[in-house]
Amino acid sequence: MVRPTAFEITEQTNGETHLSSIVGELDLSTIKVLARHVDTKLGENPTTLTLDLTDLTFMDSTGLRLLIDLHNRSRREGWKLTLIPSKHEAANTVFRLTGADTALPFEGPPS
Amino acid sequence: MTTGPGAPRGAVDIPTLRIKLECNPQAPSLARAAITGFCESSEISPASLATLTLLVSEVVTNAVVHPESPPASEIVLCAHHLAEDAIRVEVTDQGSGFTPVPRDPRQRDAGYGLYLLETQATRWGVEQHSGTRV
Repeated sequence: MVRPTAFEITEQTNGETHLSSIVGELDLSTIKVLARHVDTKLGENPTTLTLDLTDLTFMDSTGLRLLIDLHNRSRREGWKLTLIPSKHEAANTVFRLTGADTALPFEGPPS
Repeated sequence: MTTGPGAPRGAVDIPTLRIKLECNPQAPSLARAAITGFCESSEISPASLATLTLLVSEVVTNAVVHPESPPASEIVLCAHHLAEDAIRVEVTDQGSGFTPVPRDPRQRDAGYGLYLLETQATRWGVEQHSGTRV
């Protein structure tokens, strides 16, 4: 019974601004892919890292922990993290139920 | 754990889901797909289903990453459709159990899984027999 979780990251760099769009489900099986991706991007010292979660279809607290870590790291290291909210309820639930929808640097409220 | 306000219906004809999952990082995703499929024909609201799916993902993730789980162990996911908007879910692994503790507010980046369970499930609990059941 194997159903690989659909997960994809597309990226775009414009000067010192980096945009990564996350498509699919962020959970225990995909978290390392995003963590590695973000580490690589931050190694290039961008001034802004934007994570576009529009097409994120699910996320649980495994993903939330990573985003909170990133938020803390951005403040410590002096770069800007911006999150674009998902259009999927199954991804936004964890933000809403923990209050992270207001605590994390979302560009506009989750839909 | 049980979500939803409804009272249990009679013991006869309770729709039930029971699947075994390998204890690996794919287990939360498979458990979510199973619970979503199980609830497809029910009248559970989309918001309740989103919360239920999240809680199942949290509990199964805990079962996988729990350091005391034997590496080759399996997880059993059981769900019972008790009433219109009430689903009881049991996740059983072969771990040695744990004692739930309140989330430490100073520990800002950890402990969200059980926090969610505590705030969103109507009831939840842990049983220890031959394994751990949440």
